Amino acid sequence: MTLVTHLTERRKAAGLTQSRLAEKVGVSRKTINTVENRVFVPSTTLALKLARELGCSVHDLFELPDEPEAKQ
Amino acid sequence: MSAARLSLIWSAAMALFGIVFWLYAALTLLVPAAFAPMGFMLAILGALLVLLMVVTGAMAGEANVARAWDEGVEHDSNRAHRFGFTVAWIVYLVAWLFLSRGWLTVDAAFPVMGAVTGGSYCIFMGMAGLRGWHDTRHAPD
Repeated sequence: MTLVTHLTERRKAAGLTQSRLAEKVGVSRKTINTVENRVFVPSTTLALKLARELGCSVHDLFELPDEPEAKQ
Repeated sequence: MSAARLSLIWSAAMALFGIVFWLYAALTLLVPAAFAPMGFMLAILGALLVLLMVVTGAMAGEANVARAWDEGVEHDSNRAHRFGFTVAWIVYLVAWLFLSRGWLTVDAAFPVMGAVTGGSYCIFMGMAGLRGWHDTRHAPD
């Protein structure tokens, strides 16, 4: 199962590095990197934490690939 | 100690211990008389790995331990379990064949099966961790 992710764009727009975001949500930078590269699908908890830190909804960060608005 | 360093130490240790486990299995197959009676060494090595992880984890602190063993690592661990389970099935079938033909003694078969199975999990975790460390190190932050 892969997800379309807008995490990289949202993170950069928030002016955060992978390391800083990882620190804020309590995971390793490797995990953020693998989520951004669609190697790893995050749990609901991590997705909610990421959304909270980036000031958006989970749906702004992740979409199912077959959704019409999916752009990636 | 940072979470990144802790993660690197754990990954390197797992890879190293996994290789030692597999080496032990190979040596036991080649020279069973010398290495099969040393099966207790596997338990000592396993305990040393746990001790290393506990001591370094205590040095790094609770927050860094949580980050070093986060859900990304849990995901790798689940994959490592599947890999270990698959290897175990193959090794146990081969060992059964060897035992039935008399090419391997029971005393040598059990340490080999245990070492290969345990070593498979450790090597997978070590490789996944080191690969992640390498990929992240070369990715733009």
